[in-house]
Amino acid sequence: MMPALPVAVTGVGCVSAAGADLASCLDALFSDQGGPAPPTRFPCRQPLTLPVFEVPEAWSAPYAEDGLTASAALLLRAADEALRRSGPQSIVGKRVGVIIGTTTGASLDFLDCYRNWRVGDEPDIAAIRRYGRSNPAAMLARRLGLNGPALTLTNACSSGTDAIGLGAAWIRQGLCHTVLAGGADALNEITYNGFARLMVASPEPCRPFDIERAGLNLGEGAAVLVLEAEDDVRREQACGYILGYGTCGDAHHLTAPHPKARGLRRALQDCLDQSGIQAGDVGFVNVHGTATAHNDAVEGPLLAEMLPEVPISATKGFTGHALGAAGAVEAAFVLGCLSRGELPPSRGFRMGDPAVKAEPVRGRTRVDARNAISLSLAFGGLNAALAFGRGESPCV
Amino acid sequence: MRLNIFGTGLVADFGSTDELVRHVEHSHCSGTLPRAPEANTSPLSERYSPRELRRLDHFTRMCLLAAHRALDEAALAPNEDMAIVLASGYGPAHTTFDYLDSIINFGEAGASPTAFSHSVHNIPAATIALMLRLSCPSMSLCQSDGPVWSGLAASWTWLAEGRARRVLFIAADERTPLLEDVLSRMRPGCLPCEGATAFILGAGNEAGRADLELEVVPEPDFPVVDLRGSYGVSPVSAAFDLAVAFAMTRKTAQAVLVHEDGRVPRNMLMVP
Repeated sequence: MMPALPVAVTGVGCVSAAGADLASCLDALFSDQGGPAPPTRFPCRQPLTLPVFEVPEAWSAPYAEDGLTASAALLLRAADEALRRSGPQSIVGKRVGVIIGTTTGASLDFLDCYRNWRVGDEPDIAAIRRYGRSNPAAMLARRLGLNGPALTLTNACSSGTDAIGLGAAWIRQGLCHTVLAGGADALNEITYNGFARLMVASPEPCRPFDIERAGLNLGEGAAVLVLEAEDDVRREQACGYILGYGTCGDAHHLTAPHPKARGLRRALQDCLDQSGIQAGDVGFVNVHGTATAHNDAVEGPLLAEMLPEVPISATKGFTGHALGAAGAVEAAFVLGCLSRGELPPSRGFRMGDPAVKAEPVRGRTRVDARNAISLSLAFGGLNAALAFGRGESPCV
Repeated sequence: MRLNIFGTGLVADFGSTDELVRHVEHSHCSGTLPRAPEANTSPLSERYSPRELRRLDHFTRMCLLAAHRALDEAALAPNEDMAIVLASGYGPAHTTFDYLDSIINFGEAGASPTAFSHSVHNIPAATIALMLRLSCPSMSLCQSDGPVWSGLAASWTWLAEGRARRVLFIAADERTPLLEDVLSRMRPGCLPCEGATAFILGAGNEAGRADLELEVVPEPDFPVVDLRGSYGVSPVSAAFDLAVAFAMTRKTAQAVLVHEDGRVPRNMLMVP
């Protein structure tokens, strides 16, 4: 990849189990608060109860409607916060695109409707209409009256990262003046049971990169970044920059990463090349760090090789794995950490694993970082990397 | 936004591009094409062993066969300068319902992990990458509003920024009993169809077999391909039209307009 122009981030919105907005999320991260609990919104009928990170319903309630899904309500909350930060000038009179990454938000998870239809009942058209109206990107574009392209990206666990990378490219290529890019996913019993049956979820709080890690905790949330061309905004409007993006599939296995990180290596290298950052100049890296045996064992050694000595931040101990929203939520956290010049504790990490070859920071850690990287790995062997630059003004 | 098209491939329950082109030439787009219960993907057995194909669901098989037809027409072997973009209205619906079946039939504790993992929307694109041995950028998108144009715009973006030299773009949707029942209630008289259309795309500055302009203001004298009444309803029907437009453009050396409905309707122009 050739070096590319930075794209300004003029607004960030984030809702996760850690907090109702980005400021609250960062407060929880830096005060080391939070943890998973048994799901409350659906029954757990697995042999083991697997704790999850739920977003309190009160946080998305102001945005909930009968005709919209829970993912859509989370997305609206995050988008509202992001646009309040960026201001109306970001979208009024402009060609505005929307790219939102999701998994549950685009999935035909009509369990009750399907169960009833199988026994001969008429299908619940209301559930179908709700699905149709809640396609994340289309819903947001329609709700805000936007006239640019709208794309719902379904790259599983790297969707949020990929959405931001593509959104930045739309700005650079002149497709849009502004792009709302991010991710949204709500927990549901269908996904919960799927991960339980794959035996990659932990019955305990997750422990990213830890020698005793036993799997992930599912989570939910949403985050939206308002992206604009650097030349179109005053420096003090930018709370961060998207410097580069890389993506590559392993073509190795559908649910396990390549053992030598073939795709992740290329994704990270392309991201560094496009951002113009040398490996030695990376301020810190936010890892995917799901705490599964395979993920951490692939991510860690690659970082030890390509980004040695770079501080590592693992934040899924505060949010769980929010699937399609994860990369966007972590992008918001990276921008917040760049603003603060500090990394939060890597909740859940206690003791390193020699096989992982890298350790995240244990406690709060000062970093004088001008840039940072965020990594995401996904089902299907997809890998994505984003490079961020520090902005002139704080994100919150 | 201009793309070069080097090859196309179409696999559908109404046949392939040839059936659509004959329909245009002989019936002038009137009437409905005869349709099979599902798209025929048996030609894949000429390229892959039964063992290689055993875990591929129907949606992925359609996409893979369409991809091979497009690569054959482009006389191109898969290589790692290529990227994959897969657009769909509903994603791999059958695998989703297979997973729901396993929950209903066996309970949550007996649900099929394989069915769950295969229902994740990017698995078809990942499977195609595996089968073609392509470690490359890959994107899946899922929306019933303008999936074809959105996928083409994403492809154009990756080509324009040099992330890939070629994009294998596939647009696909499959029929499922539930969605057919729902469609019949919401839009009486409309029949769903299924199929996958693949395109080998370049960046717009090369000599492809045809060029595609993604944003045009239609002129009154452009011939228009609109076959929506001929093959039924599908979120990715504009891709079928584009495949026909590609074939017609090469035959007639005339530009052909294709329209995709949506929140923001799009007109795309196939240019010889």
